[in-house]
Amino acid sequence: MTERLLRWAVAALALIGAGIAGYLTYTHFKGSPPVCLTSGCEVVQNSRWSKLFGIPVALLGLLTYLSIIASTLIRHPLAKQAGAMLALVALGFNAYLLYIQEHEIGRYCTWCISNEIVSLILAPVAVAWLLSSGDSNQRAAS
Amino acid sequence: MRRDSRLAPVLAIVGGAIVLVVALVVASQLNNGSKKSSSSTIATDSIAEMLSGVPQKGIELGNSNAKLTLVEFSDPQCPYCGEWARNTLPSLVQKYVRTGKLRIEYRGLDFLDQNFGTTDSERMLRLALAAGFQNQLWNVVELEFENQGAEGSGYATDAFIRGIAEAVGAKSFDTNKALAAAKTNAVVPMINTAQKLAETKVGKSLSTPTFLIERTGSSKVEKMIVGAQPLATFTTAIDTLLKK
Repeated sequence: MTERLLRWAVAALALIGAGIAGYLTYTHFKGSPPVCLTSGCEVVQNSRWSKLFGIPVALLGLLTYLSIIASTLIRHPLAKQAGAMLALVALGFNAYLLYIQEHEIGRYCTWCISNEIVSLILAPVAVAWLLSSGDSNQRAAS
Repeated sequence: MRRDSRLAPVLAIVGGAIVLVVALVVASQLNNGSKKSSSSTIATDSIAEMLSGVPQKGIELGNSNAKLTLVEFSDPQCPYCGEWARNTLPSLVQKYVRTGKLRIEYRGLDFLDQNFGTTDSERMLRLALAAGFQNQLWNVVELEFENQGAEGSGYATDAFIRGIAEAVGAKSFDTNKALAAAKTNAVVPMINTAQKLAETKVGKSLSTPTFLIERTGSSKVEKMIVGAQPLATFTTAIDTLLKK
């Protein structure tokens, strides 16, 4: 798989993640419950776990995904490394949030689960992108 | 060789990511998890944050001149009342109470005690109403819901009640004074008033939680919501009445 294709895949997955996180951020600040397949979204969204030191976790997720998208637009190995690291951080923290839904809140938010699936796919793709040879690596080597 | 040279930065990135995730998890646990560790101190900060700057007077939360009034009939032991208090109330406070559009009246009821042969609801209700004499009723009510145990289990022990009172944490709140007032008959008329109001406005089929939305100053019920309905049910009803 070419570096270019992997870069596009990372950007596309991060865009989906940003869309989900953006929607959850929007509903958080609007104070309305997200459209949800179960009642869990509202419960999770209003739980004390939905904020980290007063900052909505959804907003942190949105910023993370936007940073990953930005990393795919900047043709520099450092940007690639930062993008891959953020994708791994997103995977790890989403796994933790899944644990919180299961063990602390006792409800599942379908939007959050979707986001967790996105990060589960995004992380290995981002690592593959990092390992791939491409124009950004070549530029750094030159 | 080239592969090894590429692997080193990848390992560094994975290691860095692990460190960042651990830091985030620790931060999250420090921010939230510790509040669940003790039944007496749970969520003091988050409740204080939710109610910070919002006027309280006796059983009222919010601006006395707000266009609408939400009357909450709930029992401190009732699980759905607790669910509503934990999940829906914070959004209503943020969107409508804080902005002066809505005031909320707490009309605590004690009827689950009869079902379970306990005195938990009455004990918690007494403390909340006693705290109302110091305009801290809502802090106590929310702490009680946040620390809610299984209904009928007799969880509202003396230690629990004292723990809730101590967890209020406001400088102006005299814990011992509230605990003493909770044992007097001073709070009884308020319990009786809530019961009569529920029977008059909702009827004998009352279940908790039940909510009435009225125009402030009018006793006409504009909307009745039964149960811990989703936030949207409340926002739709409130928005509609605010527009009229």
